[in-house]
Amino acid sequence: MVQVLLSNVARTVLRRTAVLLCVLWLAVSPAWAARKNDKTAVPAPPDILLEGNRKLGYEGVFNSSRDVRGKIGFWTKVLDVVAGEADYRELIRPYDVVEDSRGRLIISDPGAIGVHIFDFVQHKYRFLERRNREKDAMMAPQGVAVDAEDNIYVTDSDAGKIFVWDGNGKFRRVIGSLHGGEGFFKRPTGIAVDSAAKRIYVSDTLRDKVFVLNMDGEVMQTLGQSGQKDAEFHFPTELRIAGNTLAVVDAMNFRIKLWSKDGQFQRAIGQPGDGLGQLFRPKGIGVDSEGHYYVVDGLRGLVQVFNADGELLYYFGKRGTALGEFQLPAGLFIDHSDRIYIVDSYNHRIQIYHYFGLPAQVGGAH
Amino acid sequence: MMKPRLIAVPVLCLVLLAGHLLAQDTHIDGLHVGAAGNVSAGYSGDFNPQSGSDHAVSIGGDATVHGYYYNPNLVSFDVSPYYGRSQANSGTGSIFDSSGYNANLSIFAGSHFPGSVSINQGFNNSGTYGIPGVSGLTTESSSRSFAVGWSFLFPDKPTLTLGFTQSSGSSEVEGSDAKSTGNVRSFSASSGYHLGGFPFTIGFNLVDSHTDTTGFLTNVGGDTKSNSLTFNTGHSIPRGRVSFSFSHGSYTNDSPSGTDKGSTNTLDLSVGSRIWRLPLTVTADYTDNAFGSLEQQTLANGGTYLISSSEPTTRALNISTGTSYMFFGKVFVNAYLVRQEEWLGGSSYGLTQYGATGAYNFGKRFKGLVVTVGAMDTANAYGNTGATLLANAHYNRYIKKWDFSANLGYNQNVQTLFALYTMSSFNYSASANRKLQHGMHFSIGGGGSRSGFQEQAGDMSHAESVTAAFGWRRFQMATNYSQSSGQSVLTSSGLVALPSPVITGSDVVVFDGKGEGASISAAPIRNMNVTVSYSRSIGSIGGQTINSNTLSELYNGFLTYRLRKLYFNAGVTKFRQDVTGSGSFASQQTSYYFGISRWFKFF
Repeated sequence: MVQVLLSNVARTVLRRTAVLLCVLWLAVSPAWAARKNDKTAVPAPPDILLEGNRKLGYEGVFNSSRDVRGKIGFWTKVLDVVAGEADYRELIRPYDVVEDSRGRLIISDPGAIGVHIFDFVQHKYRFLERRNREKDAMMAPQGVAVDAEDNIYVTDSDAGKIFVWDGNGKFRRVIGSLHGGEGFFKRPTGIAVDSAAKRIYVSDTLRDKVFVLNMDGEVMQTLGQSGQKDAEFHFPTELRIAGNTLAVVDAMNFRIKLWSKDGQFQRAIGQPGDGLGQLFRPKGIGVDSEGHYYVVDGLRGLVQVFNADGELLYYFGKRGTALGEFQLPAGLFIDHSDRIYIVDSYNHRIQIYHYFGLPAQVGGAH
Repeated sequence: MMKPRLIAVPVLCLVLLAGHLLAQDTHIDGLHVGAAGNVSAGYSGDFNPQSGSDHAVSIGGDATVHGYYYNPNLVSFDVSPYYGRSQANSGTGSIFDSSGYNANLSIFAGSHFPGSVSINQGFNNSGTYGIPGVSGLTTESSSRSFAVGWSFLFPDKPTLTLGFTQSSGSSEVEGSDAKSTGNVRSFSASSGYHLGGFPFTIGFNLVDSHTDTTGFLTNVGGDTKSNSLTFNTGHSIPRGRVSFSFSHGSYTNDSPSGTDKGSTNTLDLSVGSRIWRLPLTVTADYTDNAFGSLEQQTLANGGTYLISSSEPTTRALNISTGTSYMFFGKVFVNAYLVRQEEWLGGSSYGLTQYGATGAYNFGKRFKGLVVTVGAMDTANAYGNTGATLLANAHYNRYIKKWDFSANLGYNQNVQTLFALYTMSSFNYSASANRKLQHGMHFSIGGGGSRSGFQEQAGDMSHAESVTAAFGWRRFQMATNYSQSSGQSVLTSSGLVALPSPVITGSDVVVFDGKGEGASISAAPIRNMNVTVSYSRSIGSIGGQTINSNTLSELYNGFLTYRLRKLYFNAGVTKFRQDVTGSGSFASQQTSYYFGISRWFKFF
C-alpha cells in the first residue's frame, strides 16, 4: 500500500517536474537564440582625414546604464541567466553633457526628469532626480556643468532654478528659488562654471541675458540685452568657457557670441542660413585643444567646425539613425584629450568622436 | 465543461513553442511578433474541513504574444493565456486558482472597412454577488465570450457597422447551493449618413439572453428576447440646435413568475438656443409604454422582469424648459418648468412643476465654499401639492497642509418616475488629509446617504461608511467600515437597488449588511512587499421566497521579493463564507503557497 502511494507521489512529482522543465526550456531558449542576433555588426563611419595629419575618428556610442558594465564574471553570467539582467536605465531625451575631473560623463535628460552619471572608469552608474517634491522639485533639467570640486550644476528651464549636487551625488542646494517657491530665472538653459574666478554663468533664454553669479548664487552682473546687435541676444542658449572666453550660442540671431569672462563683448562668429558654414539651428558648442569651435546644428543633424575667425574648417554627421548620424542633436562637450561627446537626443544616445590634432598642442576646454 | 488545464496549458505551451520557433529564424516574411510573460513554480497546500488537506507542487504562468503582419493597420493580434496565476497568496488576489486566455485580432484598422475579433475564456475566476453598500459575497465563476465587428466607412457614403457577441458563463455563490448559468447573444447594426445638413443615424439591436439559477435563488432567472430600432437626426438653427430621435422596442420575458411581452415607442425632441444672454432648452419626450421602458432599463442593469408591463397601458408625455444666468459673476441661477401628463389604466394624471436653484461661490471670504439652494413647487389637477426644498453645499480647501473636502446634499419631495411618486434623499461626505513631517501622512473620510419614497412607507434605504488611512514612509495602514440597508431586487448577479416603488413582486427583498476591513502593507527593504489584510461582511436578505443570513471573511497575508526578473512569493489565505438557509455547508478553506516566478521576454 505504502509502495503504491509512494509510486503515485513519485509519478506525480516526476510528471510535473518534466512539464516544468519543458516550459522553462521553451521559455528560456528563445531568449538565448535571439541574443545571438543582437551581435550584428553595424559599420562605424570612416575616419575623416584633415590637413596636417589631423584626423577625426569615430569612437563609439552608448545609450543606457548597461554600457558601463565592465567585464562580466562567471557568477554574474549565471545570475543573468537565472534571474535575468538587472534593470537598466535608458537615455530617454538627453539634452546636455559634461565630463568631470574623474572622467565621469554627466548627462541631463528632461525626458527622464533627471541627470545620468556614467562612470566608465569605475563601471558605475547613478541617476540624480528630485521628482514629486513639495519644495524645489526638478521638472525639466537642461544645461549641466561641473566645477573644480566636481559639484554638479543643472539648470531647470521649467522651474527657473539651478540645482546643485556634490560629486558623490548628494543634493546640496538650489540657486534661484524665491520665497514663494517660484524660480528667479524665466527660462535658464545654458550654464558654465569658472571655478578659478568663482563665477557661474547662466543664460536666461526668455530674458535674452546671461547672468553672472557668484558661487553663493548672488547676481554679480548681467551680459547683453534683447536685440540683434553684437552685444545683444535673441534667445541665448548654450554656454561654454574656453580659456578667458565665454562662448554664447545666440540661437535666434544664428551666431556664436564670444565674450571675455569679465563681461566685455569680443566678437561673433557664424551667420544665419541653411548652407554649410552657416548656422540654422545652433545647439551645443565645444572648443578643442586647438581653439576650434564645434557647433551642433539641431535640424540638419550635423556638427560644423570653425576656426577662431569663424571660417568653416569641416563638418561631420547627417540626419539619420545609423552610427555617425544624428536626429535632433543637442549638447556637445570636448574633454582634455579632444574626445567629443555629442548628445544625439532623438536617437536616445551619446555618440563619441575623437579629434587627433597637432601633437604639440595639449589642453582642452571646459 | 472542459477542465481549465486542458485548454490553458496547451495554449500556453503553443505560445511558448511559437516563440521558440520564431526565435530560431523560422520566421515568416512581414510577420512581427513579440512575447513576454511569467513562468512560476512552487509548493502549495490547502485545508478544507469537507475535503481534508491537500498539497502539491504547482506550476503556472502567463504570457502575452502580440504582433502584426507587415503593418499594424493590416493585421494585428494579441493572445494572453494564463494558468494558475491568480491565487490570493501567489499573485493577483483572487481566492481561486484561475486560468484562461484572452485573444484579439484586428484587421484593416485605419482603413475604410476595419474589423475585429475577440475571444475570451476564463475558469475559476472570483467574482462578487453584489449587496448594495457592502462588499458582497464571493462567487467562483467561469465565462466565455466571442465578439466580431466589422465596419464600412467610405467617405461621402452611408456608413455601416455590424457587431455580433456571444457570451456565456456560470457562477456559484461560495458556501451556498446557489448556482447560476447564463448566456447572451446580441447582434447590432448601425448606419450613419449626412444629407442636406442633417446627420442621420439609424441602429438596430437584437438581444437574446437566458439565465438559469438553482439553489436558494430559485425564483431568479428566465429568458429574455428584445430588439430595438433607433433613429436620430438633428440640425443647426440660429444660435442653437434641434435634435430628434425615435426608438421602437419589443421584448418577451419568460421567468418562473410568468411571461411578459410588449413593445415601446418613444419620441424625443430637443431644441437648444440662446435668447439675449440666456441659454434656453426645450425638451419633449413621449412614450406609449412607460412601464415597459422602466422594465427595459431594469433588464439592462441585470435585473429581472418585475411586473406585467403591457396591462394596464401606461403612456407618458413630459415637456420641460429651462434656462440659466450668472449674476455678478458669483451667483449662478438655473430656472426650469416641467409639465408631465400620464395615462395609466384609463385614468389621466398631470402635474406642473416650476422651480429655480441658485449657486453662490463665497470666493475669498470662505474660500472653497459653494452653496446651492433651490425651491420647486408642484401642482396637479387637485391643486398645489407643496413646495420642494433642494440644497447642496460643497467645501474644498487646503489649509496649512490640511486638505479638507466636504459635501452635503438634501432633496425633499423630488418628483421621480411617474407623476404619482416623490422621493426625499439626504447625503453627506467629508474627508481630511494631512501631511506630517518625516514622510508621515494620514487621511480620514466618511459619508452616508438616506433615501425613500414619500408615498410608500418602510422603503427607506440608507448607507454609511467611514475610512481611515495612515502612512509612514514604506508602511501603510488602512481601515474601513460600511453598513447599509434597504430594499432591492434579487437577481442572479446580486441585489440591484430598487428602481421605483411601483414595482412589487416576489423578487423584491429587504437587505441589511455591514462590512469592515483593514490592511497593513510595508516595504521593509527594497523590492520587498508584505501585505496583511482582513475583510468581513455580514448581512441578511429577506423576502417572500428567501430568508438568509450571510457571513464572508477573508484573511490574507502575502510576501513578495523581487530579484531582477525573479519573484519570490509566499502567502497564506483563510477564507470562510456561510449562507444560511441554502442547504449547504459553509465554505471554508485555508491555503498557503511559496514559490518562485520568473519574467521572460521570450522574443
